[in-house]
Amino acid sequence: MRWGRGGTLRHSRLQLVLAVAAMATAVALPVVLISVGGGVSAHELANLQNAGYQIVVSAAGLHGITHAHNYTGQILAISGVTAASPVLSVTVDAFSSTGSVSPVLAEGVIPGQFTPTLGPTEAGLFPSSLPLGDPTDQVHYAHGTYSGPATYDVIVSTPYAAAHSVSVGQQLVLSPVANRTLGTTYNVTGTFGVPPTVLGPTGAFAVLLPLSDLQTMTGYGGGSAAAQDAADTIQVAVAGSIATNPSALDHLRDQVQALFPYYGVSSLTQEAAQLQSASGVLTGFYLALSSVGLSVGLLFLALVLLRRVEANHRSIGVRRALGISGRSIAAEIVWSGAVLALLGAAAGLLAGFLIVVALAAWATSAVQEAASLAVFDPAVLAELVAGVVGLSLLAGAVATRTALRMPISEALR
Amino acid sequence: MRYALDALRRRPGRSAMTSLGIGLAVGLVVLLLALSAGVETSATTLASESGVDLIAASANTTILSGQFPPIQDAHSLAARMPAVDPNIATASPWLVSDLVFGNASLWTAANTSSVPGDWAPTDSGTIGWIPSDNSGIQTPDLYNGTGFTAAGDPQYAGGAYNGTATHQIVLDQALAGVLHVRVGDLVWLGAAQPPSASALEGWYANATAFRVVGISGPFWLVPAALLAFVYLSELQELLGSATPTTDYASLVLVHLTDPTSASTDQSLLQAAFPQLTVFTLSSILGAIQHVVNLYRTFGDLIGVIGIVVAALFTTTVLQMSVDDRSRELALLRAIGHSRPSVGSMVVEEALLLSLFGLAVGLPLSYVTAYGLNLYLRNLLVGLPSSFSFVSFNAGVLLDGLLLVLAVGLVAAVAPAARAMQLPVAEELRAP
Repeated sequence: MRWGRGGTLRHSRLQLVLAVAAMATAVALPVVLISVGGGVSAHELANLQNAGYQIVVSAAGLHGITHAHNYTGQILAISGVTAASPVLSVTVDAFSSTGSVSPVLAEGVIPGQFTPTLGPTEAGLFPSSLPLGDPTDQVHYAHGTYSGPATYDVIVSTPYAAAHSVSVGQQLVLSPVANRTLGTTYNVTGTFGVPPTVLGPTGAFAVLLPLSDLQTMTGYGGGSAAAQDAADTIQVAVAGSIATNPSALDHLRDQVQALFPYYGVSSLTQEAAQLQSASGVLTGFYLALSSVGLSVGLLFLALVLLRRVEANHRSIGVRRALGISGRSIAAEIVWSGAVLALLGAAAGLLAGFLIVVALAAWATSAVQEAASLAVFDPAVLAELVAGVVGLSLLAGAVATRTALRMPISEALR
Repeated sequence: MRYALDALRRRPGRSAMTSLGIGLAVGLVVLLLALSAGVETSATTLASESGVDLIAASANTTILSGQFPPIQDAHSLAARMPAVDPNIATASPWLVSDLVFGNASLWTAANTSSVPGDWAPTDSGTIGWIPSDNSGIQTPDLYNGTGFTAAGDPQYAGGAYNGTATHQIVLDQALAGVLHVRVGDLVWLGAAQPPSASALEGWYANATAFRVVGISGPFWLVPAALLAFVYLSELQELLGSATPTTDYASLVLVHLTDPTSASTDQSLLQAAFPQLTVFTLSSILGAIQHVVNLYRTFGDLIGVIGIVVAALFTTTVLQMSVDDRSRELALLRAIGHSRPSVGSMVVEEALLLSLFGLAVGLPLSYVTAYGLNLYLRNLLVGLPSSFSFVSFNAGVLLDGLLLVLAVGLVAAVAPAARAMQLPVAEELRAP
């Protein structure tokens, strides 16, 4: 027998299987979106929390912090501050001894202050003591006159060194524009690694040099018409006891803010809270997008349950005639809906996981990178499954209503 | 077709639920298609209407690297480019930077040492350009004032930088609103933020006063919430690059007389000016597309999953329908209908359901798209009125139609096969 009356049961089963498959497909979508989106957010959050500094000072304008050396000293004088690292970031052109030219991100730092503000991951990428000469950068800075001798040392990122065959001991000309004659010759004294970045432009081609050197080269040092002794940010590291105590950290942040009321002073806990809030909004957006598939899946489930009630109307009639309570019949229908939804959700979790694995293996590079960061948070996934099962009760309610409103005499006829 | 319609009419609830399910899924996909088409069409239209056919940046830069050292000899380059390539109608150097702005009220308060706690200078994006050299390039509309009155860049004075500074500035409406200034008022510009109110007096002493000569509309080409425009040499002066050896600009925007062969002009310029990298409009749009691809992948995934769920749903409903009418279908076979004829009835039913789904999904997606477009336009200031994030063009509608037909056909395969293979005698014998 291929088809026919004997096949009805088989088709009823087929409908159930299709319903579970539809639920699974619908559940797979939020699993993918939430796990990938949550993974990227968690990665960014971890980066933030693993930074070696806890407070960031920034200012409006072009390299908006002035008197960076002086202000760094003022911040260091605050009790509990262990390091304050001004950073000036400017894109310059690098002319290697092999004749290659490439724009690089140049970061000017005070070597002795920069290292303590590195997190554990970043610290492993840099030499323990930066080979940039004077660790205080005070010799060349010379109280703001910039008349002291400069060391002209630079360390370069390993991707840049590899791409342009630059090695320690060679010379490198850095120029604010694509004109070698306006450049300054530096000695390459070391290299540093570059952490992987997600979904953003990479700073793979980068160089690190003393702050005062970069300021004089780019015109942001003493006598600058734009900003004297300029920096973009000052990263502040604090003592461990303060870093782990939110109220003490806030107090210290307020002390820094009091020094520079017009500058932006934020603690990483504030930034982490903002990031988490943004992540929550994103999760809501993903769920909204997924709701269409889930709605169709639940309509599907409701229809299949309704169909089962119609197919079993005689059996329901007999059982009601035998005195079995409506509540018991209703519970049975709702339970079967919940089981189907649970099966669909479980299969959806597995399908979502497999889709993420496939994206991480075969999608375009940016998608691969995002998918590889996916986090399958059991609590979030359990909430998702519970939500789906909860909504399946609604689907079951429609079928239950039909079953209970069915006249017993008619069902038996 | 009448048979198919009759079959749907007999189960109105089930048919409505199925159409709604298909409609939701198709609506979502049409919305995603309309969003993709809208952004692509608007971006391409804007780019072509901007009048910018080529963009020159510093050598060896790429659009996606985000690392752009300044271009040297900006004024001279703008004059030399048309000499190299006669197809260049306009070469306009632009210097883009962030500056800090103060108004007269703050200046008065600073001088009397009575600055209210919540008063501080404002940060804004600033463009330095040569206003008369922007011919053919789209610039923001001027709402009030005369705008820049001097031709060329008077202070540049052939590279000596000793000409008269106009100190004229045009602010966009948003910045003028933040600063509470009107045409004719003064604003003060500095490169860096003063650290505190006590430093304000010194900041004003070093800042440069500009007279507001115009209030403009928003400007989409430079994405900034607040924006101001000044003469190129005067911005260079503020940033310390107003010297013959520097003369910095961020970019040179090129408008071509005949833009159809932009890549030829690109090659000409690239060969003549090795210190530059020249991008065509298509290369810039391609780079943007590369960035957008990440979001498109997940958009595609959302659409595919919606469609798969809808197809499974439709398959199941059609299976139910065939089950319900198995005796009827067997009777049709018995009175002479061929297997393909019975199968086609099921396919027709599937296509009808899908088209009803389209009828539900299209209005849904249109209304959602309209709301989404309003929301995004309010979120992103500075976009021209013609910019729409969604586009319901013929291509999108055709894609939607093809999609529902595909859903219907795929969903009909198994139920139609079952209908065609029904054992006629057994069905008719059954009680």
